[in-house]
Amino acid sequence: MLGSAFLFCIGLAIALTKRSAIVALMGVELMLNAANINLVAFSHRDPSFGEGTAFSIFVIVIAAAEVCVALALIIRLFQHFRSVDLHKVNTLKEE
Amino acid sequence: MGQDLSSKLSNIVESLPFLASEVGIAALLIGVILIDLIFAKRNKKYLYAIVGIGLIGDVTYLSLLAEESVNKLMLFTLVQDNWSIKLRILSDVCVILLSIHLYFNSTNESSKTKLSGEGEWMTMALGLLIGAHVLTMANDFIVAILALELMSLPSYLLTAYKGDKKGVEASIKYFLFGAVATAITIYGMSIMYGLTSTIDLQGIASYNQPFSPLFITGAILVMMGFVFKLGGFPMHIWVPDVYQAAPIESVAFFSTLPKIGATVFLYRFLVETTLIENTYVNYFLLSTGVISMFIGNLAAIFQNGMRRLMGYSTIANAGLIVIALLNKDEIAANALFYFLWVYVIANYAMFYFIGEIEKEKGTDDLKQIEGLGWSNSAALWGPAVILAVVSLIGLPPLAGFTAKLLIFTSLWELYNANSNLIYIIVLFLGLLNTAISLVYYLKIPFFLYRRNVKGHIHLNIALSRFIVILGVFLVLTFLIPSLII
Repeated sequence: MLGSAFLFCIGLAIALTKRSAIVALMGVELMLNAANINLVAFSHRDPSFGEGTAFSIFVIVIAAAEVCVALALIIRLFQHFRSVDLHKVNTLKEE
Repeated sequence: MGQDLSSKLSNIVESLPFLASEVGIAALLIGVILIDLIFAKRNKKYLYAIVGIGLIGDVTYLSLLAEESVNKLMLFTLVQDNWSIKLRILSDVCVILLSIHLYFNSTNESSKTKLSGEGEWMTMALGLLIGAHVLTMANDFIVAILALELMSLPSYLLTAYKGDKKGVEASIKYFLFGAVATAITIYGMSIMYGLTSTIDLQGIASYNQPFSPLFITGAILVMMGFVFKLGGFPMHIWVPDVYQAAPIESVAFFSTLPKIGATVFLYRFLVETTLIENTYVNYFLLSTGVISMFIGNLAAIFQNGMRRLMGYSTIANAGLIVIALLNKDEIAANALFYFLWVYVIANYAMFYFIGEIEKEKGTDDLKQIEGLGWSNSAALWGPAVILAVVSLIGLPPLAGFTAKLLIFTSLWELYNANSNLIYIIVLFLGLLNTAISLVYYLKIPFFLYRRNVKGHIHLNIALSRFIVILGVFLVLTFLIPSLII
C-alpha cells in the first residue's frame, strides 16, 4: 500500500513536471501500475477472489490502448513541431 | 459471487434482451466499417444518413419498447432503470444531431477543406456512443472505467482529426490531462476496492462503517476522472484549448455526449454508495461547483472568440451540474435530466451557428458577426440563435430557465432539510454567477444585431433550418416540460 502510494506520487510528479511528452506518458503508466499493485495486493483479502485481479487485467489493457493513441498523436506532433517538448508546443493562447 | 459457471452463463443470456439497443449500435458500427471497406472511392455521405436513420430507429425502440428491469444485469454490473433508458435516448439524439451536422456540412465544403473519411467519423462517434450508453448503466467499477475510456480515446483522436498543427497540440494536451485523470480515477478505485473488497456500488454501500479519511480520499479520486469529462474545476484546463482547435463538429459533439454519461455515473456513484451523505464529499462537490462556475464565467467575459467563449461557458455549466448532484432526491434527478436535455439542444444550436459563421468568414471572432442579424437570410435563424443564447443564460420564457430553476430549487430543498447555511450561500453564489454570465452571453445578440451595421451572410439553408427547429424546441420544452421529463 505504501509502496504503491509512493509509486503513484512519483508517476504524478513525472506526468505533471516533465517536459517531454513521452516521459510524461511514462509517468501516467507508473500511476496505472501503482493502481495495479494495489488491486492485486488487495485481492488476497477478497473472499470472493478474483475481482481485483480481473480489474488489473482490464487496467493493463486500457493502458495499452492509451499508449497506442498517445504514440500516434506524438508522432503527428513531432511532424509538426520537430520536437516532443511540451514547453515548445504552445501556440494556442488566450486571445 | 458464489454461483457456478452455468448459473452465471444463464444470467448473461437472460440479460441480453435488455441490451438490444447496445447490440444494435454495435451492429451499426460494424455495418459502417464494412460498407466503408467495400465501396471504395466514392462520396460516402450516405453513411451519415445510414447512421442517423439507424439511431432514430434506436430512439424509437428505447422510447416505446424498452423495459425496466429491477434486477441488475450481466452479473450485477449493469442497471436498467427508467433514468438510464431516458438518458440513452438523449445520447442517441446527440449522435443524430452530429450526423445531421456532418451530412449538411460536407455538401457545401470544397474538396480542399472537406473532412475525408466519413467511415472513420461514424465509427468513432458510434464507439463513443456505446461508451456513453454503457456508462449510463454502469453499476461496477470495471464497466465504468471501460466505458470512460471508450469515450475518451475517440475524443482524443477526433480532436486531432484534421491533423493540423493546432488540432494535434490541443489533442496532446487533452490526452495528457485525460490520461492523468483516468489514472487518478483507477487509483481511487483500487483504494476503494482495497477497503471494501468489492467493486460494485451496492457492495460499497454495505461497507458499514463511518467513512474513514482514506475511504473519502479514494472516493474523491474516483470522482476526478468524471469531473474531468464534465470539465469541472480541478480538471478544466483542457476545455478552452480543445474547443478552440478541434473541428467544429467534434467540439459540438463532445461538449455534449460525454457529459451525459459522466453526470449519470457520478450521480449513481454518489447516491448508490450513500457517499452523498458524507459532509466532506459534500464540501468537495460544493467547492468544485462554485469554483468552476466562477472560473468559467469570469474568464468568459474577456474572450473574443466564440469557441473559447463557449468553452468557458461549458466550465460554468459543469459547475451547475456538479451542484445539482448534491441532492439525492427525485427532484435532483429530474433537474439534471432536464438540464442535460436543454444544454444539449442549446449547445448544438450554438455550434451549428458558430460552424457556419466560421465557414463563411474563416474565423470565430465575435466582431465577424457584427450586424449579421439584419441580413435577409437571418430573418429566421437570427432569432433562433438568440433563443439558444437566452436559454443558456437561463431567462424565461425558455427551457434553460426551467432547468436552472429546478437545480436551484433542489438546492433550496437541501437547505430546508439540513438547514446548513452553506447551501444557501452556494445558492446565492449560483444566482450571482447567472448574473455574471449575462455579460458575455449577451455579447452574441449584441453584436449580431448591432445598429447601423448591416452585414451579409449566406448560411447553409438546411443547417439554418435546424437551428430554427432547435430554437423552437427550446421554447416548446419551456411551455410543455412533460415533453421530455
